[in-house]
Amino acid sequence: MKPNPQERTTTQLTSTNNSNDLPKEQFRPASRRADTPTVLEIKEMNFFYGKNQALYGINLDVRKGEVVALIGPSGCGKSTLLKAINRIHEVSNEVRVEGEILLDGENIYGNSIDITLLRRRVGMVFQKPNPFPKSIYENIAYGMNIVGGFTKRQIAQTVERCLKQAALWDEVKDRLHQNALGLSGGQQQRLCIARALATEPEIILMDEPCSALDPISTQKIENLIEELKSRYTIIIVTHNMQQAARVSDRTAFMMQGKLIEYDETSLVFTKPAQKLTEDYITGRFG
Amino acid sequence: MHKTFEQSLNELQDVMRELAEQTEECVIDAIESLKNRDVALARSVIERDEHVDRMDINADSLASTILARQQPVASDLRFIVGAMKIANDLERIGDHAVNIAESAITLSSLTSIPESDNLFYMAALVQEMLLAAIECFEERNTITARGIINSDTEVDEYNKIITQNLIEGMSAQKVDVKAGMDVVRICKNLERIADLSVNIAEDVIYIHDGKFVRHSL
Repeated sequence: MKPNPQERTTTQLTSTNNSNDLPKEQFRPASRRADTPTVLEIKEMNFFYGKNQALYGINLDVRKGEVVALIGPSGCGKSTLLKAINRIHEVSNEVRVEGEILLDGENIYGNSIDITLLRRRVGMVFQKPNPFPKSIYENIAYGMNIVGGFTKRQIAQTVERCLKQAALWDEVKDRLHQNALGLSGGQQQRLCIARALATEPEIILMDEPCSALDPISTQKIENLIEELKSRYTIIIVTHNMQQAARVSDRTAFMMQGKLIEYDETSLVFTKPAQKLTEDYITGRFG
Repeated sequence: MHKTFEQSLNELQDVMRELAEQTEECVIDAIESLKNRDVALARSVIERDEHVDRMDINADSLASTILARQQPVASDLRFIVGAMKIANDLERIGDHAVNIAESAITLSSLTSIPESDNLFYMAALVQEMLLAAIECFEERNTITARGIINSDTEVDEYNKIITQNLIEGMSAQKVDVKAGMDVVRICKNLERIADLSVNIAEDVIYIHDGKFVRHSL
């Protein structure tokens, strides 16, 4: 059945059933409200890799449907902060978090959180395109096939929707069953974005999504970000100042694990409030 | 900061400094040529305007190149945007100096210039404003900049007084109409130089503080 965009309700992260029972709401597009409510709120967050503290007292809020850029010198903690938002570090690291990250008011580090469900609601796109070594179609259908309970028609509709949203449909519609690894780097990255869209996430995290791409592919991804923000909230880590200035609504500048400044992008790039921000974005250090 | 970016910014700063010096000299010399009935000096002001125009184009060209190639942000961006506007203001000040020099040539045969006391007092005020505006651009001094904005009122008052006196003088046939009209023209040009000095001061505040203070907003 075709999802109704107006019906989407906030899904609780606490799983009441088997975690494989993906609620149908997950496949409904996020509705946007005119008053742009806060979707994500990070409060006094300290983050540790083992004994090493990587983030210090981070406070940051993200409104629904906005693009937030995280900038700062290498090692400043921006990727750590990004990954903390869908708890992806926990795959390979021993981590400890103090403070709270609230997704729609619910602490994602709470004891009863279903991490699988969290990662469906907070999708991620990595620096290097990482499609599965499967067909273009299967890359997007993969998650739905794992979860199960969807008809072929529903899956086909989702594949088409996601490829269209990722501005890839016209380029691949005639070769959906060819291996995704045969696509160009830029197409692979858009396929990864399409794959992330399949679960209708509320937030899409992008970790330097264009750093491995040529200028044309970069422009396509940036245009895509502009298109997607009407339906999704996007948080992007980038080393490219101009990209941050072009695509984001708000920019957060981080240094040595601390959030130095967070404001409207137009202000950060014309009149930053902090000298550290000014020195970094004008290339006087970093 | 990238070395070539720093060099480009320094180059723009140098062009702006030269443009400001040339314009300032043209205004001073135009007023001097009027005071001393020095036709040769007035002609040299007119000739030097071409150089001022070239410097204005140089500044614009450099600033455009920096914008295109370096994508400056924050204070660097404000400096470049401000410099482009100030270069344009300085070029127009140069044009007003030429107008004054042309009137100085017309008035050079007169032994006395109508309303000369008020006129030269007004000219001194305007000269002071322009010098202060250029200095505050060099030093990014926003306190001086705000002072310049406030002092424009006195120049406007002098412009009104002199114009009024001349109209009365010409109506009563005590002032030669041709000479009177030239002095009115000089006053108008001085008043415009004061306005453009205010613009420069406002742009200095934008460059330094990122605040737009134009149009009394």
